[in-house]
Amino acid sequence: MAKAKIIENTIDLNKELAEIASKTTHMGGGAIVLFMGYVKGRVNGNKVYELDYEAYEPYATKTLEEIARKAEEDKEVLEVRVYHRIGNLKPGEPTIYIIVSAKTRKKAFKVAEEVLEQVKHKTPIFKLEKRSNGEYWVIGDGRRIPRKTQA
Amino acid sequence: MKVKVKYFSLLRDYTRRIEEEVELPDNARLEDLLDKIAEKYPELKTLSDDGVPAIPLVNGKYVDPKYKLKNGDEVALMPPASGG
Repeated sequence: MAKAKIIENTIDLNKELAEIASKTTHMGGGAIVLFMGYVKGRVNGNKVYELDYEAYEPYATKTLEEIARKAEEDKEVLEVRVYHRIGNLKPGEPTIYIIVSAKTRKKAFKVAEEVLEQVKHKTPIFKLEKRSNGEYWVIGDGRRIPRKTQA
Repeated sequence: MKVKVKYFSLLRDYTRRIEEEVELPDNARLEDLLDKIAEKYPELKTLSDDGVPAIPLVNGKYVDPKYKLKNGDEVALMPPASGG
């Protein structure tokens, strides 16, 4: 069954992967694809200090659950887990984990990418990039707009 | 009736608040609330003119602007999401 949630801390990847492999091996599983996004330390030539992530809860979690559940409707997909972090994250820190187990590697790669794109576009999660030349809101697929004032 | 309005991301630069309660006539629709917000924060228009829409969700769902609001509804206004 799909697992999806908003989290503050990192996850134990070895534990996640071992759990999934153990569970799905008897279902014909043979491939796990893991995508992990992490904070960029440089953007447009500027040093990034941190990314502040905020999620609109409980709807962000509901959206993640729905995306993961739908991805599991494909009979070749055996397990989907999606974890998105919030809070102040420093360069190099993980921001998102997508883990997909499937009967074939081709399916696992494909579904992991599809799930990632849906999470990025559909889930109400927002980020503020704090960098050496100021603070920027990140909008949609990477557009950056300078922050005007403190809310 | 009263609805709670939450603002996310750069919309807060324009509203200078995270959330507020808005009083509306009974039978008001989502579009009436959006008009009221646009009137209160005229600078928001510069954002939409710049290609950044303020997307509304009512109780976490995308609804038609003609949606009839109910007392206690939570309306969120947000730019395109930027997770990942």
